[in-house]
Amino acid sequence: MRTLAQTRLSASEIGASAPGFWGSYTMRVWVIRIAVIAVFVAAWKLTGALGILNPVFIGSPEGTVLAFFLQFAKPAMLGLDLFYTVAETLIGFAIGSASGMICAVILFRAPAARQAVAPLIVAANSLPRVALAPLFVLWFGLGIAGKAALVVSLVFFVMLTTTLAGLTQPNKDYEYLARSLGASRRQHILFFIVPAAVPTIVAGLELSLTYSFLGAVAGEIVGGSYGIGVRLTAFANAFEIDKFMALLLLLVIMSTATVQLMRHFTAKLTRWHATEQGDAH
Amino acid sequence: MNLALAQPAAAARAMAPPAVVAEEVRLSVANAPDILAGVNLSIRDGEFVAIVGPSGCGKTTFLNMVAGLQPFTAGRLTVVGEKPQAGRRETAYALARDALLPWRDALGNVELALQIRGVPPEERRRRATEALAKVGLADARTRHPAQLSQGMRQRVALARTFVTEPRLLILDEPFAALDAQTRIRMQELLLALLRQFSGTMIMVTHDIAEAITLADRVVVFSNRPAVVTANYEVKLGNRKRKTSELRADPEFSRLFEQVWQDIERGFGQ
Repeated sequence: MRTLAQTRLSASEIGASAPGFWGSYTMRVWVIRIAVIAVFVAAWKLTGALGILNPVFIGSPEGTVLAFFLQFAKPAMLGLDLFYTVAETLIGFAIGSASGMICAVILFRAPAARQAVAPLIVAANSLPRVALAPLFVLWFGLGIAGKAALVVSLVFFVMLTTTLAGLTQPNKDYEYLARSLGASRRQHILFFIVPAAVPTIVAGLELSLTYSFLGAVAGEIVGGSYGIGVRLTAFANAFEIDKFMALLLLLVIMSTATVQLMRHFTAKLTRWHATEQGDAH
Repeated sequence: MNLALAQPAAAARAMAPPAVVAEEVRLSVANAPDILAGVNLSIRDGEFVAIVGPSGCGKTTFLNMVAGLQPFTAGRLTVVGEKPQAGRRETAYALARDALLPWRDALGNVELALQIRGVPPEERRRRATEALAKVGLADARTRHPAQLSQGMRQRVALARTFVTEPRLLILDEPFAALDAQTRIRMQELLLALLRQFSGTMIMVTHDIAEAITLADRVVVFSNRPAVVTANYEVKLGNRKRKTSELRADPEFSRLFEQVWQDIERGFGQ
């Protein structure tokens, strides 16, 4: 029995316990990762060099790298744009995810209301929210509030649906166990339903954070004075594709870093789930 | 053993109200044959009873009724003189699958039963640690279910079942998910735990050998709609003997054959 457990443990630690980096599973992953990026950059360069597409429209890899570093030469300008985008993203994310989760809990506790609004949620969620951006600008102005509102409209429904899905996933065994142990309704929710829903909710939060950046930038493209979206539009209109790509790269790095940061803080909550799925990475 | 001393205890036991009484317990569902067609069964206080029968015959359904988890449509069913009720303090129910919570470690899973009853943290930690030690998992306290083998998970489930010191133990195919060898080891463990247990046990199993090994009486259910077709008192002295010894007893094989025949006949109905 002991050996069985040990076998399973060591199998899930392949990546970590392999001797050294060279020849390890982790190294293979990184080789493939770098190869994919290299192929993409090469294709990009070749498309321009062979005249398949005009570099005026697609820029160039080396020009983008140069522009990436040059954009830090004017930190005040970049800082202001970043501040606006990040503020819109985080404010929208905080309000949207909190209200989405609260509404999900309320609907979870009120099955009749849940059933009543279920089709409306699907309809609202399938609405292309970005199309509403001009409306939000009209209502909340060209500043941070308009974009934050757009972000809220995206994140709210993501968190509402994922939280509700997490809370309502059926598990007959847990239900029987809870009842046979004499758990009160409150204990049933606290000890069985909420912990089971945590991985789903965390996955929803991660998705929402990515959506928040998307919403903020899309809102800025529609209208505004500062922000990465505003700057991107300006660069595209001026055919400064390298600068456009460089800023886009910065945006991607930022949003990835934010998601990773969140993963770092939520990893503890979902570690059991990762082990359950046989995923040690 | 001193007979004079043993007798008053036996007399008291005979006087105690039966642990479970089922009279014509029936479960009918719309547009389908009945699931239970009038089950009659009386279980004495302190008796170990195993219910066997063809799979899908309604054994687990009956068990769920005793545990108060499922209603029945006709008849009378009492548990210690009362209507069956889920969450009785004196009852412990072990589900067929271990139903361990994957986000709690072994100790946390055992503690759960006590936590729900409002036992203070230090006491429940101590009692859960003891219960885990009793099933031989003192070292695995901090491991999560995914890091445990099937046999170990089942041990944790047993510890969780015993930790509340129940008077009525309800086990639904406790070892169904285990390989043959682990299952026999688990039966030995359960037998050892039962030796320190003075309450009533009622278990469902599809394993006839398991039923004869662990129970004082084997009850045979027929195929659906289920009724009790036979009762066998097991007079092998299982409470004192080792599993291997029991299995070697010719009476064991004879009983096994009889129960087997009964279940076969149930299929023919």
